[in-house]
Amino acid sequence: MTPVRVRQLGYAYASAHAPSLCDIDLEVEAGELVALVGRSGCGKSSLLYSLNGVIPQALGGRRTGAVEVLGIDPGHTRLAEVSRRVGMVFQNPAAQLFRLTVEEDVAFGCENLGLAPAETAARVDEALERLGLSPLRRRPVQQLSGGQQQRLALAGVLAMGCSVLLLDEPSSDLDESGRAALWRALADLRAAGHSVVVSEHRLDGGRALADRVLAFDAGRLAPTAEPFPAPARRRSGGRGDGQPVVELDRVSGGYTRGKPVLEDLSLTVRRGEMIGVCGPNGSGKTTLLKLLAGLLPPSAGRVVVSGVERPRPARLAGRVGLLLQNPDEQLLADTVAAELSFGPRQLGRPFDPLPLLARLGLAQYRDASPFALSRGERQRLALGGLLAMQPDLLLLDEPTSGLDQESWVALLDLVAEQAAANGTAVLFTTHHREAVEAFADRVITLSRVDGGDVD
Amino acid sequence: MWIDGRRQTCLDRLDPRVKLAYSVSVAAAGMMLGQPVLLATLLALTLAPWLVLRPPLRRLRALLLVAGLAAAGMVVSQGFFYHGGPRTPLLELPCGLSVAWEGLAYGAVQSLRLLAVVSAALLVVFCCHSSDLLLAMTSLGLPQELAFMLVLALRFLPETIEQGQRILTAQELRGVRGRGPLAAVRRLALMTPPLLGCLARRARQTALAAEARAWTPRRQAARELRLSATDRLVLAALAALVLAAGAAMWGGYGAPPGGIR
Repeated sequence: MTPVRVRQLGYAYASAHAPSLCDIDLEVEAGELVALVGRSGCGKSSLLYSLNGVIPQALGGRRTGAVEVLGIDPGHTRLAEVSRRVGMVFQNPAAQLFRLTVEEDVAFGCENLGLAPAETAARVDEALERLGLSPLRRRPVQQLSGGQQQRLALAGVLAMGCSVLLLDEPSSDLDESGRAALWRALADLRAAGHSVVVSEHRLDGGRALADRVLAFDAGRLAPTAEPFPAPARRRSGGRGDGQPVVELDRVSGGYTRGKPVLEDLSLTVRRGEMIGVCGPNGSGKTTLLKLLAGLLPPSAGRVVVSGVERPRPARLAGRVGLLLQNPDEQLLADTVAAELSFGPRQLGRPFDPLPLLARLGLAQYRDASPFALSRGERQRLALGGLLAMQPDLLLLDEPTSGLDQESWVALLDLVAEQAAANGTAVLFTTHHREAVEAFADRVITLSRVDGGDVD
Repeated sequence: MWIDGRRQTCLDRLDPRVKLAYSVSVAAAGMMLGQPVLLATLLALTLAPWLVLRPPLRRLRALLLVAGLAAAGMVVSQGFFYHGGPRTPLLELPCGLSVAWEGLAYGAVQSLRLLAVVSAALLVVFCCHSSDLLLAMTSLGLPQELAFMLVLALRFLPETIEQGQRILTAQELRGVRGRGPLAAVRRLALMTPPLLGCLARRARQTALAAEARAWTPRRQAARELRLSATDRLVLAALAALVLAAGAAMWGGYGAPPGGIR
């Protein structure tokens, strides 16, 4: 029996004008790994939600066509019943870990199924073993890396005995080794006879492991998918001859005394330079940005940012812009236009938001609430709020995370424009090799001080 | 309070329900006893297990500071504001307030009671992992829905605090400044919409993920608690403590209505 059969599937969210899925036909066999690729909002997640019954049972809307997973229609079967057969791993691993320790979280689904404690214990042991998490079983879940959290979420659905596994952009926040570990785990599950469907913006090593790669575009499936071409080189290079904006001299820093995350780092960043900061999870990329934004005092060495020695956020206001991974954390105003004007107004600078709104491609949303925008648009708006202040230094924490290629290229194009026009120095952390190759004048690769690799 | 990887003692190995019973028994005994000597004895009894657990010095200092300040605050405030009987002023302030001997004595007794209860409660959270506590509470009848909410609160509270700090930083870097209560209120008002927006998004994701993992209040816990012989012995000792306190109260050694004898 073919585990997953989809015929002429269509779906529209209750509040949407256009359908998210149109005429989808798909079959997935046991022991097959299918990858769905496409830009944000193209319908990948909607298809996965249709396969595990969240559409239409939890999200409402109108579904047409037929979906059959292991002999049941997930849209019209109790979700608890569906979840015995279909396991879903969502994009944000942290939001789907409910318990305090690793083994408790794996047991969570089994407890819901009412399994006897001995049966649950056996399933937990097996799932942890298969995903290489046994040594971490008593660890608090928040101490795991992103890759480990993602594998933990997978172990949780595996322990429930699901033979169909759905993963929604599981590697968007993972570094290279985390992605590799995840794809290895998926290949093992495929070999064990599971049907696996993965949606992704980019596949990297997964392309070689997937049995089929299907492209999604505007809610429709294409039988084959060509890889996205890497973006062309955007920067001319050869910069770095201006005044220094950042001077780090033998700087160490971290969160626990005696356990530095960064050690003995020296670095000079000059006006107009765009620097990519790479390295595995835990190597100190975000810590470096925190040091430069004045959020974390160095434990040793000298830090000068935009002429300010021993920087603090209040002293760097208007001189340094920090783009956080989650744009929602820095949207402070009621409307899109007010969001751009917010910073200049605080600093008493005159500012007309209209030209910047046009550059950001958000002019039509001028009076809309920032929270009504899509993720990519919110990211652009958050960046716009920083560009409006004309900072000397822009710090971007994983600006490509969770965005499709088109969106992050557009975002970094804006940053590059600012660097060229105003001499703003830029440091951006990323796991995307293509982003570094296209935009960075220089690359800094950090390694873990303890020499380990979290994934 | 919980420290991962700490050396496990005989107290750590007790059933979490026994640990909860310990805290409740000390609170009950504390309420029933009123004489300073008996309350001091109760406090001494609650301090003894700490010698077995031997918390790190830094943690101990912090605990002593907090407990000491609370106790001192209670003595001083009762010294000023006690009106349960006659007052013998020890010190009169120009503003009209006075410190009374009876108030200080009453405050000292209340502090002994408070310290005994706090010591017992802290011991429970020090040697009982949050998961074990929740398991104990659900096995004692706490509804699963409430237990799930508590777990989620424990699970996401640290992340929410970090998120709040990041939002405050984003504000500062965009020029929001100022000190004092008014500025604090303004910053809080500015922080609220993005924080609520983030929380709402995460709550939705978490709800979907819980649905996808078949969450139900009629669930079977992966672990079952069983009382050992030691657990039963400790429970018997706790019952004896409560009975003894009750007997003392009936015998006239409880908190007298007229103050301290």
